[in-house]
Amino acid sequence: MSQSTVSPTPSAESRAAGSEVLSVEGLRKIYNEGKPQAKTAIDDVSFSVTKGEFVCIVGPSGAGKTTLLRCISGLAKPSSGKLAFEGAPLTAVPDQLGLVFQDYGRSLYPWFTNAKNVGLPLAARGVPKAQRTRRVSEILASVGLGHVEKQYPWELSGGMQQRVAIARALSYQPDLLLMDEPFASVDAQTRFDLEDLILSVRRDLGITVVLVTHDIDEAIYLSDRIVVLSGSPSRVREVVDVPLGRQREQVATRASDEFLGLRRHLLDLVMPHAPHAA
Amino acid sequence: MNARMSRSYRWLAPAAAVVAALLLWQLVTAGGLFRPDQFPTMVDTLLALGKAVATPAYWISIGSTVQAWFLGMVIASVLAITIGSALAFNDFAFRSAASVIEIFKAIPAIAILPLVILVLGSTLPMKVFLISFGVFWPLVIQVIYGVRSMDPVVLDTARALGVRGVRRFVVVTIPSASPYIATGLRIASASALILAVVSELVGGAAGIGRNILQAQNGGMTAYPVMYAYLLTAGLLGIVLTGAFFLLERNVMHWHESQRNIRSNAEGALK
Repeated sequence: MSQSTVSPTPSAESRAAGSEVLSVEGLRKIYNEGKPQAKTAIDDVSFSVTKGEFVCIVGPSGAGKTTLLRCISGLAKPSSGKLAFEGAPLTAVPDQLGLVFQDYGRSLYPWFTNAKNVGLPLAARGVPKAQRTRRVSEILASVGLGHVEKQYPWELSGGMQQRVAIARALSYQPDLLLMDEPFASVDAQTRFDLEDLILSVRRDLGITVVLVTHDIDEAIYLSDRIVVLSGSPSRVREVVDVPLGRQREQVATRASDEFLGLRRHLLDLVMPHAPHAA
Repeated sequence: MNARMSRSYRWLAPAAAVVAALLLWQLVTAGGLFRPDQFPTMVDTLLALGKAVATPAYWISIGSTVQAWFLGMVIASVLAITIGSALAFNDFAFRSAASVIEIFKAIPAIAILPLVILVLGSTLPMKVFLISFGVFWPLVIQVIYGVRSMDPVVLDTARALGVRGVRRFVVVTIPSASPYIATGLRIASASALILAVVSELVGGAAGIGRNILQAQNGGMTAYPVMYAYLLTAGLLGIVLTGAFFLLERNVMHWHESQRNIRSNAEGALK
């Protein structure tokens, strides 16, 4: 519980007081800008993430969630708006950022063993070999994987592969973990396991997490705050606080009245036929 | 038990086909369908081959051909991989270079042989240049397409992990393009051998090709020797193809195609 300084439901004041890991201001992304086939994916999105927070970004499918994540990770250049990572303007992928993609099958390199996949960012940061090997075993164990170092990713199940991808993103101890629909391609049981894994990793490492998902239940279960996007081109419809505390439990939390209340409210926001829909 | 049975069967069929082909050869030549000045008998040819195998000249000629093949392949591969990757990463460079590459690729390498002989003579550098030139163009196209068809997630992952520069090239770009590069190399290997033999045959450089020419000039009695060297060239081609097959199976063991081959083979043995 290294994050005891951060209250479970940061109020506006405590957010302003805590150090900002990520700030997004007036982000706008237009594909093929200036051409006839120009398409505005993101119209105007602003939000910020404080150290230690777990923020989920939800929105209807096609809302530009992945585009947003590519912009805030530094993989794509926004058309306008201000992006800052730990106070510095964000132009490329910061060294202290970990990224987990939805498609672990394509993001893990099949030509490398699991150990080499996880050790790759460490090698790129010049960590010596012996230290790397130790760190790789350590981090694989912390995501619940032992003795997979010599195996290849494609020899593992989908859930295990995504664990390897998470271990790889955590291996260099990033300050912010960005995840793009990380549990969308695994079965329901594995999904619950991975959700709890992320919560426990976050508790143990005190890491800040931003997770993009289309699944409202998942967003409520995981986050301290939820940024709800409108349909394309996306704007922030509402930022919802999730006052469920730090301890969450798949069955009990999901059955609680607060959870169901939040669920109703979010469905209302996201469903296209809802009266709020613009 | 079952596995061993089907394993021996797998060897039996091709071996029987080779024996059948040799017998047919003997039949049509000894039977009088071809005269010895057109086509020597199989037995005469194999005797000539046996005699040649015992001489150092035979092995020296194979050595010269393989040496030129190897040097030409190395030079062409290194150039194709570096230049191809550089072109693939830059859209403007790729567009500009594409038509030039297509033109050079369309020139049969043998067409420049007279020029190369004039400049370099009947030497090893002449052979190596011809092979590199002939093999480079198709290979560079394979490299360009391999790098350009790279999965964007693979590149995004490298950027997200902070893998840059030479490290990214070696551990991400090359492996990702390797299925294309492997196919290119396999095809290049076959044409490199053809170019090596042609440069010896026409250009007079030392090697299997020159020995074929010398046997031809030796008159009818040397025909079996000529055929022995023709067989040698064919066998060398099989050895080189087999070597590439094994290399690909080992280096590319992680690739989906190789994984499929493995699981299909396991299925077939059940």
